[in-house]
Amino acid sequence: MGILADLFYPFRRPAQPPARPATGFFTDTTLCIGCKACEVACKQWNQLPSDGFNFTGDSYDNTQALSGTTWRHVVFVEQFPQPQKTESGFAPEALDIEALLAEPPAGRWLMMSDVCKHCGIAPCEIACPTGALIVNEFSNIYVQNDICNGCGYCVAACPFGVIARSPLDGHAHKCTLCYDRQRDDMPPACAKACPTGSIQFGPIDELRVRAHARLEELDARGVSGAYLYGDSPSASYSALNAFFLLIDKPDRYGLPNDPERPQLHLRGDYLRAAFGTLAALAVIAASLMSHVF
Amino acid sequence: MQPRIVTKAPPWHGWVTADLFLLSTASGTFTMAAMVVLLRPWEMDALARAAFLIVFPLMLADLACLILDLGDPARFHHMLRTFKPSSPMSVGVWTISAFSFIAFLAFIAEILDWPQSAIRSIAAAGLVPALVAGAYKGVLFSATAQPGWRRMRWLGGAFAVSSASMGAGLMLALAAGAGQPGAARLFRFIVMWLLVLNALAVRRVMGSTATTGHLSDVGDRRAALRVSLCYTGFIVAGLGVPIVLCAIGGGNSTIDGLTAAIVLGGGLASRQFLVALPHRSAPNRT
Repeated sequence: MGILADLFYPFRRPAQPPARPATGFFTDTTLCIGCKACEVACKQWNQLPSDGFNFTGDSYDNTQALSGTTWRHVVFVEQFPQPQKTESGFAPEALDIEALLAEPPAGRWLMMSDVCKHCGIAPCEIACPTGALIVNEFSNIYVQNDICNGCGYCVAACPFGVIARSPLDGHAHKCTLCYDRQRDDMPPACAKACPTGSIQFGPIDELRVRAHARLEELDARGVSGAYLYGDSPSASYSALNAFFLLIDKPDRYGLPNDPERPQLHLRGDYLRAAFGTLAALAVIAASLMSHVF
Repeated sequence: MQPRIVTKAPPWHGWVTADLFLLSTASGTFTMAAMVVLLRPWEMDALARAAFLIVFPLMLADLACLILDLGDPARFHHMLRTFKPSSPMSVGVWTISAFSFIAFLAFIAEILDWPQSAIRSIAAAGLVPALVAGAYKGVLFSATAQPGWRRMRWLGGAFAVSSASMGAGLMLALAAGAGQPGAARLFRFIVMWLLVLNALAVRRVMGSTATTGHLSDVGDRRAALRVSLCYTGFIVAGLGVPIVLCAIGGGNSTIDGLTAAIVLGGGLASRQFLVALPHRSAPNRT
């Protein structure tokens, strides 16, 4: 009975909950102080295991990347002048305190709390052959852990390198946008824990208005180069339900400059495969029908 | 400065390479046998029947690889929950299911010596699933965000031709082994022209990757050079050498066997290269 139940369980289709207003994250990187409270809150609420007590030597970033067991990752980007190397080591004058304290500053530190982008048209959800990845009632991309069989196709499809297969259970995992908390009208744990308001949660339309107001505010304060990443669709990619305010190129933060939906050329790829098949079939048929022993 | 690769390489390794090789060989061999049964049954019936006996065990081994590759193999049947044309993997799962069933029928038909009309019906019914099974993996790879794969617009076409040439290679080995010089001559001819077609397809794959400036998407310039050298190696060693052997090796069963071995070995090596490509591009992200 148990085996039969396991066999047929995934084919059951319970009624879908009614749609709710689309929600998402707006991450203002200019407010991030790199405290990693979001990483900790995410681990704690979702009961995710530790990734080990590692020292990478890469700034303050010992997490390194999003993974099946890390759904928030604070990226640290150091942009300071590199000390000149001389025969006796690094030149001390390049670390002159006066130069470091000068206005405008000679360098800066970029920090960004990275997370699943909950894409408007999500390549992982399109690619998933089991239907484990779904768009839930909040328009968030959610992995049904009781359905996923760990085929890994979503990992190959994600242009942001977000979703990953966990070595612990062999299933794919990523940020759920705290689906369980949202259902109880609570904000996601990371947004709740963020002390500076860098991670903002809410209805996506409201977040977009807030983000544009913030851009105007930064512009009025003389902060140049600030822009929104993923708030609107591009020619090759949908809008993101978790979008960012950045002040440098996307790839400086570990984001693709021009993300492209992998299924963009799918119809053409199918047609080219059919063309190759027909060409091979024509060679075989012509050879069989014309060849004389 | 080259933009940093941010994608994660999929957790696909040896089982996937084995799956690609077995599925291509099985689908190509079934296609060849089915075409023989449908177009020239009076001359090579025994050879086609032997091929049908090989295809089903190959498919069984392939299904085992597919299941073992999953993160949770006990959930392999979850693949059959949905059918999504937008997901090449979903299309492939249903195609493989249909093809495996027909390969099983062909196997049983040979074992139980069913009449020729039944075998012709099975061959006709299995032709489309076999052809789709031989080609869809290319689309599965090209419809991803992975460096290297994502620009290979002709990979599906290349897989279709490569699968057919691997099947023809196996048929050539069977014909040579069974001492059928007439059939060996025919399959040598087919192998040769399929390999020429394969070279054109590989050239298209290489062109679509290189001309769009994304060969460097596999990492730095040195990595791109290695990839270019591998492509060239596959064209020269895996396609050029057997084409020459087909052209000069008339009537020699040893050369026919060698030709078949190179075609199948080249198919395996090129598939391993393909599976490893994203891992080479982003070594720390697997």
